[in-house]
Amino acid sequence: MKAEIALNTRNVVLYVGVWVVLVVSAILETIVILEGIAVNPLAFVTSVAIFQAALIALFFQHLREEGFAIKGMTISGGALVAVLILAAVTSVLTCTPYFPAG
Amino acid sequence: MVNTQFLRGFGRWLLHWLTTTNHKDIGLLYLVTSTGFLIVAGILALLFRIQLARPEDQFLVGNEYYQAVTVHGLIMLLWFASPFALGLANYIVPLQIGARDLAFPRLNALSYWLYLLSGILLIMGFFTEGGAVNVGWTLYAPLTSKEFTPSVGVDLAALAIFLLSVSITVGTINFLVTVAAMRAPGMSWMRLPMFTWSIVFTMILMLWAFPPLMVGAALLWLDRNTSIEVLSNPAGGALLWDHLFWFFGHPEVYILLFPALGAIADIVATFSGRPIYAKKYIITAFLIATALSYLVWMHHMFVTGTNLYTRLFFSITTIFISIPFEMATMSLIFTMYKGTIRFTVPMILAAAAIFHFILGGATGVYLGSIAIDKNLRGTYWVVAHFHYILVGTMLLGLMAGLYYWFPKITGRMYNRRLGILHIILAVIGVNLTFFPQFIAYEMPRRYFTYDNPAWLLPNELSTIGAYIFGLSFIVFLVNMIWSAIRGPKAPENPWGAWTLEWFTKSPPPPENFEGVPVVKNDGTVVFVSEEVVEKYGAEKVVSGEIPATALRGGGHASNGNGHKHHYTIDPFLVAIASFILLAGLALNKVLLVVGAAFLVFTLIRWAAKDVYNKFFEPLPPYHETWPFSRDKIRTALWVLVASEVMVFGSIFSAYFFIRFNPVGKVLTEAWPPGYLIHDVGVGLINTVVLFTGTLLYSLGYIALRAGLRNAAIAGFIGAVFFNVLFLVIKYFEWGELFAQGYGLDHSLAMQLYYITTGAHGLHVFMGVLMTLYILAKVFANTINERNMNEALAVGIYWGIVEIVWAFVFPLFYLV
Ligand code: HEM
Ligand SMILES: [Cu+2]
Repeated sequence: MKAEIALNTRNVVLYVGVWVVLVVSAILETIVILEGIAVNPLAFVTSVAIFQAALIALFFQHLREEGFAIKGMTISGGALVAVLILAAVTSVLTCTPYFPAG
Repeated sequence: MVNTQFLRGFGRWLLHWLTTTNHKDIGLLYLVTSTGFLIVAGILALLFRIQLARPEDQFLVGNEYYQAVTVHGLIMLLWFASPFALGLANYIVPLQIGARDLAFPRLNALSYWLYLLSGILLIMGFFTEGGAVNVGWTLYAPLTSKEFTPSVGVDLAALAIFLLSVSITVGTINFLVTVAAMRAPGMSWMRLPMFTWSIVFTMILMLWAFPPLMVGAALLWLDRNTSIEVLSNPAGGALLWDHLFWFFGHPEVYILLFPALGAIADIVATFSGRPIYAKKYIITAFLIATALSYLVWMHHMFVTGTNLYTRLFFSITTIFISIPFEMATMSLIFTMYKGTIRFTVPMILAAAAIFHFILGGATGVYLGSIAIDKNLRGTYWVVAHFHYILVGTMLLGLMAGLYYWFPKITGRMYNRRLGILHIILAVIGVNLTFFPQFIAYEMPRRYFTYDNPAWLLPNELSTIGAYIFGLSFIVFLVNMIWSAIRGPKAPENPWGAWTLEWFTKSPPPPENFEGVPVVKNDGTVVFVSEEVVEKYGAEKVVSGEIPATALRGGGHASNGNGHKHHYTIDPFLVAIASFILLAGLALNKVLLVVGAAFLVFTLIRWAAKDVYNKFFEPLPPYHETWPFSRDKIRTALWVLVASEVMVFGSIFSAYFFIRFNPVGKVLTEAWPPGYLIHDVGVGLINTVVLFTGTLLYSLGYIALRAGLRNAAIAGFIGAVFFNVLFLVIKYFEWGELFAQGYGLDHSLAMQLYYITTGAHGLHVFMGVLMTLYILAKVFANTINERNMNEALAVGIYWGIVEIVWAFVFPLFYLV
């Protein structure tokens, strides 16, 4: 019983800690963008978002306790999204505006 | 009175089918319904083959022809092929893995009803002004825009596809959890029959292929009915649709193919009298094909003006993707070569399917080259290529499967002579229909007429072939129906096969097996009672370390664990309500309101029963947990999360696509940084509000686990409060933006903002509903040790809602 209470207290502390990191990182990224500090704002905020997503998945969703298959499935889903976005974006990078005559 | 008696009998019969959740019943419903759709789409094909038999014919022209080809394609691919395979899978997979049902029987029924009604939604188009959808099954933008195709048929098609995607997603979750968590003791992954393996891979493909289609369908509807123009804008909207559609479309062809290949593999193994040759390689081949099939979709975009290097990458992956199929085909051929073949009807049909597969696959490899495809794109070569595979391999392969499992499903034998006649006619039909189309490889597809005399003969032959194929289908249908009623009684295992489905009665009893099937280490199957499994543990039974007396007489399933026959009308009602809602969206505002109200009512009805654990069943003790730890509901939520990742990933792909598109920068005004439009302060506060909601939910969950009921209630109520607050703030934010002129008409940037935050808000709303459900359970004191995981599952759901916002906030408000 005592061990369980200790475990629960630890979990509460952990959760609140993760929440603090999430909130602080959101505030910091806002400041960094508004002050114009980031060299490549889009890459910067995407990285922050991926960091936050990992925190949420690992702790709030307990991904770290899941088995190999669930971890693999989650990561594969993310990887496929990356493939779709990369292909879609690169496919039009070289497009030039084309206005048919008339 | 005879009449009332008949009516009562009919009523009972109808009620059974409306309320059943047994996987075998649902399997039959899928098989019969999809055959119905096959007949509808087949008749359409026979009609346009008449038109094409002669040059400049006037039988079926213009809009009518376009409707016929479009609906033919959509129904065959989405409402016939996959559902027919799902019918077999529903019936056979639980039997093959030794389970009593699917993991979620009620969700299975829901999948079926959503599927049926979505098909009706599509077909309803024929009865509207302007007719059914007529823009080709690929629904290319901007032809689908309201400007070019005003008819409501396109709206109905978009909504039908959306509803079908929901049905498929629910089914995907169900099957993956079933195979992962409900296998009989000793049924290791490597022992799974090839058909079950093929269904696993099909489900993995569906899991990530359908979300882009679903998002695409939603965008299409929005594009046509609001001022959103994500797809119809001239700055790349058409290409964006191509990406979303073909990211679905190419995996879809493997979704169609895999179950047929799986059935063929089981058939070849049984009738060659030996296990499949190099099973590990064939499974590896499936795995590689699954992964690669997500990396080839741009071969459908070779003639677009996209970046040459991107296309080159996809040309290379396309050429690679034929390798795993060569591995699989070789393995099948070796199995036959090494075994002693018995020429039964399913075996001959399977061999024919393999033959067609080689032809269809080989002609696809040519299309993988950008240079060759430039000339063949949009011609009858392509039509012949995919029909060899779709009709010659997939349809015949699945029919072979139906012959093979017919004795199991009906308890009777089919007629062999009619079967052989069917095969002869079908093979002649396929080749006569589609081989001439290779010869007319210069003829463009999708035109209703032609004037080149050189194309006359191939088209004549093709039409004759189509009618021969139609005739073969009638022979098949007569055989199936007549034999199901009058055929000679079949024994339990007519083929001497060794997979689990043959170790029970034909047809199997509702609970599938008497006792628990156990596959021992040496591969033999024994049946024991659940008490024995419980007493000695599954491992001991599998390794055979139990007294022989424990095995004697098999024994009965004591409490039908994992299968109580839950009859319930709820899935049917929810599906009907969704159908009315979507039909209302396209046709009539009153229907829309009625449907929405009805949906809320039916969902509450469904959830209320779960609050009191009406269908709760303790899990059998022998349930395997590897590789998914813990229980079904938790695993199911993770599969849902994986699919949601792709849903939002598709929406974000639209974001990045439009933002980086140089054409867009010229044609539309450049995308302004978010902080110039949005109130960053409000966005940041709302971010904190949402994060806090999730935190409180998690704390509530910890309290629940620790048995602190009041703290749990406080946590959950806090979660509801903060998430509702989030929605309220969002509501005022939207109002403010509209008032300032940043409405839908403002820009593509604003349109994407409303789409993304709207979809996200909808998810927040659903999360609130789920949390209320958990709260109701806490109040009713119906949470126990095992369904505690329902609370955890809702937490996992909140996680994905939060993760999405972690991207939405910076991408829209800051940069
Ligand atoms: C052996 C490997 C395969 C290769 C390399 C391949 C390649 C291709 C290529 C490059 C195209 C685009 C042609 C064009 O439109 O110009 C295509 C079209 C198509 N393929 Fe395949 N394919 C293969 C297998 C399959 C299979 C197994 C199926 C179905 C089960 C299939 C179904 C289709 C369909 C439906 C289209 C036409 C899409 C449309 O334009 O409407 N293919 N294939
Ligand atoms: Cu393809």
